[in-house]
Amino acid sequence: MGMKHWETIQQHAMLGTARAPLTIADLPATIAGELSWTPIDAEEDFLRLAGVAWQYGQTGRLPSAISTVTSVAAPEEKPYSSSQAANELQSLVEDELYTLVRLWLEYCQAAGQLARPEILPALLDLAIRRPEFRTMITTVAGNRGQWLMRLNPAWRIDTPAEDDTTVWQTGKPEARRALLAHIRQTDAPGALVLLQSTWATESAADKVAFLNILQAQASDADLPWLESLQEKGQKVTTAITNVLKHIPGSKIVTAYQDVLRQAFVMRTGKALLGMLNKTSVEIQEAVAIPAEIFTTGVEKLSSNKQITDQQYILIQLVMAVPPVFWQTQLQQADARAVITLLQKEQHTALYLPALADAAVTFRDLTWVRTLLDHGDEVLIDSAIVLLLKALPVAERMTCAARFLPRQPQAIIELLLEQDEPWDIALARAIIAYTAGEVYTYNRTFYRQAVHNIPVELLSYIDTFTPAEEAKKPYWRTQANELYRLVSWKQQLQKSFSQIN
Amino acid sequence: MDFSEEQVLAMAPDESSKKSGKELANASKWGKRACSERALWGECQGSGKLPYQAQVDLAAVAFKCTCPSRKFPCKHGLGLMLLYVRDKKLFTETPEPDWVTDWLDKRSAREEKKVEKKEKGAKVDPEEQAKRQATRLKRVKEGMADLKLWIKDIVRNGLHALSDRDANYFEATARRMVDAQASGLAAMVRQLGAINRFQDGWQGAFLEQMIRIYLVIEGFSRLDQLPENLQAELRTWVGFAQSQEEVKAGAGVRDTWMVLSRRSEQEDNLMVERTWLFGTTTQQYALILQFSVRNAVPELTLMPGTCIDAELCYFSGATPRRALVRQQFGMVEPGVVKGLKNWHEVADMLAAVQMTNPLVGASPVIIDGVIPVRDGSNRWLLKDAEGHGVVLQGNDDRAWKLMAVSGGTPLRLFVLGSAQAFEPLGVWIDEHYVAWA
Repeated sequence: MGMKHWETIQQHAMLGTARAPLTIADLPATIAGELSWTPIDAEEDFLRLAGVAWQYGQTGRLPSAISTVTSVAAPEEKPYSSSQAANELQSLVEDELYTLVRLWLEYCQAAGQLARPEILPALLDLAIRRPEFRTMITTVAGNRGQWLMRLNPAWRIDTPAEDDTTVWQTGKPEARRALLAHIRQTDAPGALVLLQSTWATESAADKVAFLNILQAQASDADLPWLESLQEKGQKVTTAITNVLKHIPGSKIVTAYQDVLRQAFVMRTGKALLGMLNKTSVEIQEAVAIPAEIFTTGVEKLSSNKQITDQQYILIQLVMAVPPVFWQTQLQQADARAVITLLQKEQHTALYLPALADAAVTFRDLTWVRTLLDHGDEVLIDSAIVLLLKALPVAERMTCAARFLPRQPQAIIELLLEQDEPWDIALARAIIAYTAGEVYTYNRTFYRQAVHNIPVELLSYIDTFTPAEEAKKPYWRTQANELYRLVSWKQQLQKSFSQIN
Repeated sequence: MDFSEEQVLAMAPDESSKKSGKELANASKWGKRACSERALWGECQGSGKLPYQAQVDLAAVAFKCTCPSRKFPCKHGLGLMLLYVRDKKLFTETPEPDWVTDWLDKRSAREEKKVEKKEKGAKVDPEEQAKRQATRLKRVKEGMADLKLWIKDIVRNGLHALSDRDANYFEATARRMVDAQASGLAAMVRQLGAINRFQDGWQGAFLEQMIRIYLVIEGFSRLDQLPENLQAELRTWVGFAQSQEEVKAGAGVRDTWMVLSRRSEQEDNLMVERTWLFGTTTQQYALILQFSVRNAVPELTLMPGTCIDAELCYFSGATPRRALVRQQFGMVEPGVVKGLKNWHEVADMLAAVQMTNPLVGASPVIIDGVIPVRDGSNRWLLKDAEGHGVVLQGNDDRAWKLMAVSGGTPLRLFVLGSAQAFEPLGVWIDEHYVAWA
């Protein structure tokens, strides 16, 4: 029986037998011919005929021929991760433990494995919701993932691989910025050439964004082009100035140095009844500041009553010249000697925190290390995060553990930003602190920090406890959460250390 | 016997238990964790003074916990087993403590008692029983006459006239059937009333259900002219229950039964759990129904994807499917399962079933070599090697998951359906069965 007859019966059912009685003639001949039929009443006849027709349809229905053809996904070259790992990912996604999801993806990628096909829909859905995972998901999804993305428009996140020139010429602003930043890291002059190639056609907003990227590896090689730029817009001009302020040989930095040369003068006087020579730094605060200095972003007025306007101007200039300048200017052998000299007197110590800024701006690691080792309390309190940030990761962690008691919250915040895991000593120092600060460091913090916390910490969780009795129940809850998260991390490491 | 995480999670009664169970799969939550060859147990500190004692029977997969949860298995049982599945090394092998031995011994004693009870049987006064049955039969027939009249009324006025009928219209008739001691028909009427009359194509579903009710009424009026199995089938549809003792007294079928799917649904005040099994030697399907009210623990815990060596007894019917587990002999490694080759084979099988039993509902099928495809009108289909297909029922998510597993290559599936629409409930991935119920 075809669908048409069944539809006819349904139409009769809709209208009712009072208006549209069903007769044997409404059935296909193949059925009607087989029936020995005696009518009873319209309703009973309908039910009997419809019943026979329905049964006939149920027993005689053959599967339809399907013309739709589906392509076959290309075979994979990498092995699949274990089904255990697939279950883990499913759980992590369901529980919204995204830091661990990120770890899962990193481990999978590092192990050269692929996500199993059964979890791809969950993973591709995640890629739509969380763009930051897209690149990693595209990698671990393998050919099967690419195939699914082509079939399901809702999952279309894979952009065809484009060469750098195409991205630069036709890409979206974010893609172009990412490309420039990447090239700047690996080939600084190449990034400059790329930017020069389209500079005239760029919008002001893009120019500002690109100049900010150039700051990262700014060097003397950038000077001729940057100093030749004649821009009309204020924002672009400011951005150019900011890059130039990062280059020791720039005209701006040289102008600043000229002013500072006049302002900071070494004086040798007599001490101890004329028996000893005393060397000190004399600051000519009233030194004349050329008007053009103020066109480079230097502010004239101090907002701090403890600091005069003139001091404030000089502080800004100190911040913007390479710290090695002071070794020459103050005739000192090294950074430590300069620091010791400036620390001697209050009016010179005022400028030390500005030296921390300068050391970071000009990426002078010797100065950064010396300031950390020999800086006074004021300097450390004002610049610790800045200085730690400038250090290479391993060194940063050693130093961070040392300075943690000074500014724990700011340092922890800084350390959360790094991709690398904390070493166990640092992790223990941090958790020992956070265990006592249960109201500030809650479940959300541990869910983020698990990325950095090493699994070795599992053996130490029981050793942490807040001093205050009232905080202990809170800590127990948080310690459980911490244990759960780090156990998860350990489990993930185990799952990816063995290929299924 | 190795269990997988998904098998453990498939036993969770609901999503929140799943989530809580996962949170408890954390070694720090368990003061003691130990196992023996037949069980694992642990102590978990809850909100009470004493820790909860949770234990799992590994031989027949059963849970027990001292927590007051009404859910079964509770989050502690699930958490403990998940932890075990993830890392067995976290459990020390020790002799069972008394509270574990007691429970395991009681379980086996209960099994023995059941067998004894079966052997003894209950004493019934046949005269009284016949009298009761005759009274009931009279009531049922009266109720059926009213029901037939009610259906004919709908047929006369047409389905369009139902637009101004609310749920009470169906509920009143369902109650009339309950009064007439025809609970099966009452359920059929409620199902009729539950059809969404705002959904496209509702007329077809409504008409089919109405025809089923009519067939039961007509068939029951000619009961003595029908074969014995069909009589039993019709009696079940009307609401005459077969006693479990009677069923268990019948012939048993011992086989290695693969647990294909397990689904729980709330029906009125009852939690109904439907578990489909497949006998790897007899190639028979069996449906285990378990009913529980709150606080009650289902007698059996069957884990999808596992295999049990067990003896089953089928309820009588034209196509016996519903069964009881008479005895379990333990878990065994899953064997090789093969499905039907194509949809034509399925159609032949279903036609044979339909001819024997016109009332048969959705049928279980294991089919080989089907590929999920989506046609031009975004309809999901399951296509066999000969190019024939049926509609894939269920939501888009399930279909895409199937698509991901397939990658355009043929799959072996466990599906439930009839005629041209089937819902996938499980799939074999690299010869390993994964239930999706």
